[in-house]
Amino acid sequence: MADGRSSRHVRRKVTDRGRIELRLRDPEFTLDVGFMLRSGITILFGPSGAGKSTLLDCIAGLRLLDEGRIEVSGVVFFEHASAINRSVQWRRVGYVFQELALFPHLSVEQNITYGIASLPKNVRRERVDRIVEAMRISHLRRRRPAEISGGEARRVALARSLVTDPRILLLDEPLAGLDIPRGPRSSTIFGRGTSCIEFLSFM
Amino acid sequence: MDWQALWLTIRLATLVAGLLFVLGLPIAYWIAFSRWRWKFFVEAVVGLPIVLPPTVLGFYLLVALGPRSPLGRVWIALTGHTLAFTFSGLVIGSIIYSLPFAVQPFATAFAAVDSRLLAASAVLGASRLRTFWRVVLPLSLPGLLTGVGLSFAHTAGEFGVVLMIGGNIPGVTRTVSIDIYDRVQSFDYASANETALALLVFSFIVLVLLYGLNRGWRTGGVRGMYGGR
Repeated sequence: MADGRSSRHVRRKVTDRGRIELRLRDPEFTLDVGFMLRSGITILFGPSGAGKSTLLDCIAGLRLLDEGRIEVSGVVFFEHASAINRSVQWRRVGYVFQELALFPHLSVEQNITYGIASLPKNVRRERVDRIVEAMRISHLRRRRPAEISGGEARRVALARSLVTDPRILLLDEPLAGLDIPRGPRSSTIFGRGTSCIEFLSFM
Repeated sequence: MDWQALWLTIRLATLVAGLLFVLGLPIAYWIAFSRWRWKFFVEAVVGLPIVLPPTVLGFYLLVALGPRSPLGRVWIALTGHTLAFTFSGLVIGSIIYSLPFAVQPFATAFAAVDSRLLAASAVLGASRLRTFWRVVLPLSLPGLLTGVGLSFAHTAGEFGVVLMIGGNIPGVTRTVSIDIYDRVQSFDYASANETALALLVFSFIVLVLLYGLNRGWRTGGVRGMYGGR
């Protein structure tokens, strides 16, 4: 299996960043999707219940698929035909849930370091310093999720994902509760009910 | 007050609560997260001691631990004496008898942990074991405490099982509840009352502590719950 980390720079100029084709049969509905990912941001629109979150769960490996193939940045996550189904942990995606799912018993800093515990301490500290600075959450490091605002919590969740240097970043309803100026652009471009798959250029 | 019986009871209950904590975690984890279709069968087996008369349980344990059963014979081969009518036998009987009082609060607490937190942990690369230690266990602390407290109190107060498999040997299997029964049998109501009252007060204090702590946990907020580390 190719190492996504080392080949990243080579692939940067290629516009095709992955293909997703999948079929999922649930007692209540069938999800049947096929599209190509291009570098930059891919946004999925659809009314609630259309399966946006389910699709992101499938890409992250949180749901079992019936058929299809998921390839991201040259790495195959899932392929029905050859019985490839990589574990959630192996896929190394960043996924910010709609409900954020910050660990309530851990501080902001402990939340952010959760996914990089295996890295050497100095690397860890350097990455955390960088991300909390970028996300303007340095002053919240010792607080717990219950003690920060909704927008701050969203930035913490984003930092927690980005700091792991993921292959792909999945954002479910990214504009819900964000501390952004309420201008016409942000609301008209995305609107509610948006899921967003973004290719990352953070680290 | 029979101090020897009291000391024996405390030793038994502490040991059983400790062992049930260790044994109960994996069982409860399995019950909380397994998707096996016959899981309810295992749940029913674990819950059996809640509804079964202690004498029935004690009777079968006596048979199972006795010299005629395979388990009993293995034990005799290893130690040279039977399991029945020993402190070890009492420990085994109490573990089975109090199992649901540990496993059910554990399992309820595990199942109550938001599944999205488990998903977040996995997405961040944590194995199931790491997720258990870092997320499930700390968030289940009140349930763990309840399970340990209940199994301790339940073991301290058991009577039927102890009488069936332990008999009434002072210093070995004679617990406080047996001591009370003995005194009533010999019409020594005054000293029976003394011990019974002590057991009543003790059980009440354990429950008050448990419920009080749980309440503090729920209303005290996250900071209070984890000491603002």
